[in-house]
Amino acid sequence: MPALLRRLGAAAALLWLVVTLTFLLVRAAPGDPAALLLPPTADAADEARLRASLGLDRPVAVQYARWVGATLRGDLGTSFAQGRPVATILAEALPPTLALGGASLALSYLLGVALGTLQAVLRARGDRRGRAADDALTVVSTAAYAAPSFWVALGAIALFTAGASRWGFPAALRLPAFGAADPAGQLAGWAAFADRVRHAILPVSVLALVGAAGVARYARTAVADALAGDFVRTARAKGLAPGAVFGRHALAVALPPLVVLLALSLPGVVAGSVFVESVFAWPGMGRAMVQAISARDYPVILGATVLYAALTIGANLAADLVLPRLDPRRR
Amino acid sequence: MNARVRVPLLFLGALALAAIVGPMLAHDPSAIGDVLATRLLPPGATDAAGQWHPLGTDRFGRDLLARTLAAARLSLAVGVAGSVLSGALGTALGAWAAWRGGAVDLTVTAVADALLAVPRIVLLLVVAALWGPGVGTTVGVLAATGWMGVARLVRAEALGVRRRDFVDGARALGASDARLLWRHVVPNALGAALVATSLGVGNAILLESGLSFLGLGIQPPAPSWGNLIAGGRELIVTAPWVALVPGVALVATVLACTLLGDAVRDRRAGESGTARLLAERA
Repeated sequence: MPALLRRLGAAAALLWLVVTLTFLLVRAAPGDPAALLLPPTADAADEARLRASLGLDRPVAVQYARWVGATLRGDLGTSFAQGRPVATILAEALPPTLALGGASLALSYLLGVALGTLQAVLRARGDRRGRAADDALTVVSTAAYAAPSFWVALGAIALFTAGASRWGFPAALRLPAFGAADPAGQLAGWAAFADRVRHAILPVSVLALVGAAGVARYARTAVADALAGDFVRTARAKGLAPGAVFGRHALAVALPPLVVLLALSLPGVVAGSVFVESVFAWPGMGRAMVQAISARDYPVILGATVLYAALTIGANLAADLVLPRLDPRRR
Repeated sequence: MNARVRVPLLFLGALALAAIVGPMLAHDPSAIGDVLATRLLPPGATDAAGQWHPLGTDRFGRDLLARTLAAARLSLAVGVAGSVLSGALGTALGAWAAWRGGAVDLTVTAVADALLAVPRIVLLLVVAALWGPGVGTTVGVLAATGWMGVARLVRAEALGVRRRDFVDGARALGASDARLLWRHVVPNALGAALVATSLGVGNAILLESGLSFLGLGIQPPAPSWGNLIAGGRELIVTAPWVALVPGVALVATVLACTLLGDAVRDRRAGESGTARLLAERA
């Protein structure tokens, strides 16, 4: 398993690089964190005390060593704004974000692979109508891909709250647009679960819509490439049924890279949910990050950055390890 | 030129023209007149002063068509400037790293890898938060977080070119390092860098709008599509056109950029589509 060890080592080195980079970013940024925290009435003694407690009076090398050591131990410091450990804040915010990202990613894959496959098959028919239908679907899905999620989210809110009552939508389509659960918190058991699902419908759908458009672009190319392959022609020539050619030969080749994309796109979806979370007031990482930025809460901002990087590096590692198992050509 | 290239190009050209000329012809996009009489007029309405507002007005009574065109100026300019700067930075760093090798190469590659390990939107948020928002920061941040892909491409190309005979020949004739880089290495890597850069414009416009929507990009009253949409956020139920109009302009522009980029990329022969897409992703 030396290959596995090498990959793990590379991933750890990369994480260390990111941690170093965040330290350098904060050092390079204008402004002094101590000046930011101090009330205008503070005197020199207050400032010295604050600097000592933040470790800002130490040499840069010591500050760096402490930042790297603490971060790698999972100690991300204390939030300026909330006075709680950053690790606790992020641990609370991560599950809602992963749930949102995971659900929308699964949905966008189902939708996107189906749409992309349909487009590739239409194109492969080779006639005018097939090409025209594929082109039309490409423009529609590219438009969805080009639409900013926050704008789609605003439209969805207007449609399913005010629009729903104006045009008399059935009760099932009058959806909550804010938060992840009923704020009264009186529900229990099954009703509480149903309430959470209803709150998730709009944010998950918006993310899935925008994500599916991106997946469809990849799926269309992957399936079209496979359908154009010599092995598909051979399978047809030896008289296999069209269904078997398509399933056992074309899709079997086209789909493994898409599974890897699934792993690679999770961090992007999680990060991209910053906008959707902020519009829908979803209590996840994205909203924590945006709130921390408006409060200039640097420990939370940096902690979230390191966590996003750890997710990305982990997903890349997983993709690297899974791809050879799915695709024998890459062993 | 086929329709896949012509249609998006025509649209983008017309938009750029409208963005340059439109605000000169229309009434001042930032002018605030009699707010109570002109605010939140629906599209097609005429206000008390007899001004016609084809796309309606916002909550300060400003004409939305004029605002959206003025925003097109900034959004297009910031998107193009951000991509061109990141392309130039990537080309320079990639060529330099490949040429010098050793510690320089190691540092550039390490920084690029570290930056690629953080989702770009997170990097944008962090840097915009640390340096304070504004047009300059937004362009700088787009450049600072977008150069890695181009740098990798150029580095790979430059590593190949470095060993070619014509480079040895030029060196034997006494060409300096800077001249070798500029005249022999960079032109050879430029094609790939240009395609990657132009593909990035749509994405840069989208990212700028996201930053501005969150209040970390272009600051009102300077108009950008992102902050216009943010201005319509609370009005989405009572006056939906305020967020709708700039959003449609934004989607149409990014759509045109993406379709154009796809058409250009498809023309480049070589690898299979999947390999290209995976490489673009990496």
